[in-house]
Amino acid sequence: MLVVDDAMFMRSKASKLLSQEGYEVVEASNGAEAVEAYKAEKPDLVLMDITMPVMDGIEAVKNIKAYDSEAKVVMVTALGQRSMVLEAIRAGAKDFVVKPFQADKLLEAVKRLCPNA
Amino acid sequence: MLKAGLVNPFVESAYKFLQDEVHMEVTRGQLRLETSKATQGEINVALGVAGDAEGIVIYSMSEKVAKAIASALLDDVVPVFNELAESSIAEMGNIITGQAAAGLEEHGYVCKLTPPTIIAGKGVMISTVDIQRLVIPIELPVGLMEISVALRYYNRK
Repeated sequence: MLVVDDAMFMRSKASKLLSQEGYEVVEASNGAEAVEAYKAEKPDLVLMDITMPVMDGIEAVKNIKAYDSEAKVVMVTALGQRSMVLEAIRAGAKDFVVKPFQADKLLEAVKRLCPNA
Repeated sequence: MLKAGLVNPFVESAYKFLQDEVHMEVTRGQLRLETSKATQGEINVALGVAGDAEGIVIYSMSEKVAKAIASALLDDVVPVFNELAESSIAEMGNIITGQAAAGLEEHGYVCKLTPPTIIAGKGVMISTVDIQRLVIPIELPVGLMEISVALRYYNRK
C-alpha cells in the first residue's frame, strides 16, 4: 500500500492501521514523491490526500494513471465538496474517503479494491 | 454584512471535529470583527482559500491548548510540541476548513484550499490586508481556540 499525505500525523495513523492488518506500507509526503514511489514499488493500492505541496493529489493521480491505467487509487481527504469528488473520479480515483476517517471505513475501501492483497 | 450561512459551516465543522475527534465539550463565544494584525495565540494554523471565496482562515490557540488537542488526536501525552504534534494540529485546521468548504459549496461557493502552515510565537502579526477577520471564539475545557475567517466572497453559482 502507498500512503500519500503531507501530514506526518495522517501518514502515521493510516500506516499504523494498515500494518496492524498485515499490509506492507510505503509512505510519500507529496504528489511528486507518490508518482516516484508508485513507479518504484508498484503498490496494490494508493491512499491519496488532495491538498499537498509540490504536486497535489489530483495531479498525482493523473500522472499515476498515465503510467499505469490499472492503478487503484482511493482519495483520503478533508475536502468533502462534491466538485472535488467529481474531479478526483474524473482523474481516475476509484473511491473517496473523507477525513477524519473511521478505521472500518478505510479498511472497507481497501478490501473492496484489493480483496486478495 | 456576512450572512450566517457563510459562518455556520466553520462553526459546525469545528464543533463536530472537536467533539468527535478530540472528545472535548465546546462552547461558542461571542463573534467579533477585527482588523488588528496580531493574533491571540502562540500556535496558529493558517490555510489559504481560493475560488468563489478568497482569503485565509487562521486557527489560533495557546501552546497548552495545542498540546491538549494533539494529545487527544495522537492518543498519547504530548509534553513537548514536537513535529508530530505540529502535524496533528495542522491537520485539524485542514479537516475543519475542508469540511467547512463543503458547507460553503452548498451555499454556491466552490473553493480550494492551500496546505496548512503553522506559525508559532506570542503576538504573531498576520495581516489579512484589507479583509476584515471574523473571529469565532471556541471555548474548550483546556482553554480558548479562536477561528479567524478572513474571506471575500465572489459570484455565487
